[in-house]
Amino acid sequence: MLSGKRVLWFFMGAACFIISQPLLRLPILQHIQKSTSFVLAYTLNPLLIGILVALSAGIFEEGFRFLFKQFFIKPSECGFEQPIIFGLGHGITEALIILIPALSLAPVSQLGLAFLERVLAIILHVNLTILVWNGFQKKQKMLYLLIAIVIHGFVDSLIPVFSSFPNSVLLIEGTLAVVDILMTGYSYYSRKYYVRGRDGNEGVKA
Amino acid sequence: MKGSRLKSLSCLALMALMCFTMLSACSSRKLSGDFDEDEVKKAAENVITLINNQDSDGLKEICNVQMKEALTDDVLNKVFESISEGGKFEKIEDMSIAGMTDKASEEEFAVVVAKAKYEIKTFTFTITFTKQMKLAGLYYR
Repeated sequence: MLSGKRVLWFFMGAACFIISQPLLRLPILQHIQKSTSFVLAYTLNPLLIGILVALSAGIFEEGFRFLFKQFFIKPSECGFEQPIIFGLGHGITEALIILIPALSLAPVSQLGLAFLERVLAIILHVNLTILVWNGFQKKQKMLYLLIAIVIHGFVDSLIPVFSSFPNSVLLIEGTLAVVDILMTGYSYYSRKYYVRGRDGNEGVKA
Repeated sequence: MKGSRLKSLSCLALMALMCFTMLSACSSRKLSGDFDEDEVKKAAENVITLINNQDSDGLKEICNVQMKEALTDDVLNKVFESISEGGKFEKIEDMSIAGMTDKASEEEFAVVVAKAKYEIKTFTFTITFTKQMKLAGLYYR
């Protein structure tokens, strides 16, 4: 059932994306991109700078997922549905922010690939949230956060790495799909780290 | 508990800071000893002045062979038209210089990125010079 807590987790996921990307990372990045030293660095090392920009997305999005779990969603031990709902809130909000402006530029029938890409991204967000949450269940928070940042950075790096290839879209989306399949398998396996049969806030030590 | 939270926050802030510092610091490829930084700076300012004055001959005079071929009158007219849309030139706001080596020819270049403010908009020029201070590349956006 759609309890208040679940709705709250969903909106916390949405807030996590809005704070980490449109409110923080993107303005900082836009400010840096205005500097001539950044343009020069990008001119001389487009791949390296592209990868660093991708890594910054991992640091901000995974970092804020971690901070939300650390400070706002208690206790650390919880049910498996909590990261799934939080990740859905994060991913769906990102999809809406990206797709709504696109809908004004092209009809829905021409946005099939964009929708597919967003579905893959939402699956990734859910899996990455589970990964960050796993750190809390296994009491190895920083290790799991670091792994999530690396995976997020790797996936976002596919754009600068593959964009010059002739079949770049296929390569990027194909690799994303493979990462999603592997991570979904891992997430399914990691269900055992979670409190069973509870919504995560009942009967668990604070 | 508070200590661990503070540690987590500090780690994240440090990671973000490191990432953005690396982004800003990646341009630190030094100019080779064959270039004089002041001379490169003045040459870049001169290129922007020639563009502002729509001086085709002046620009062609400082170009290397490949650039002379690329900068036809047609291309130059398009450049002048586009820059004039920015209105009156006001000042160069920021300039960064670095060295670059062409992998194929092993030739060394000086690359300048200059942010030029005009009345209506700001253009970012990327200007490349050979060791003989010939104009080897010009890009603006």
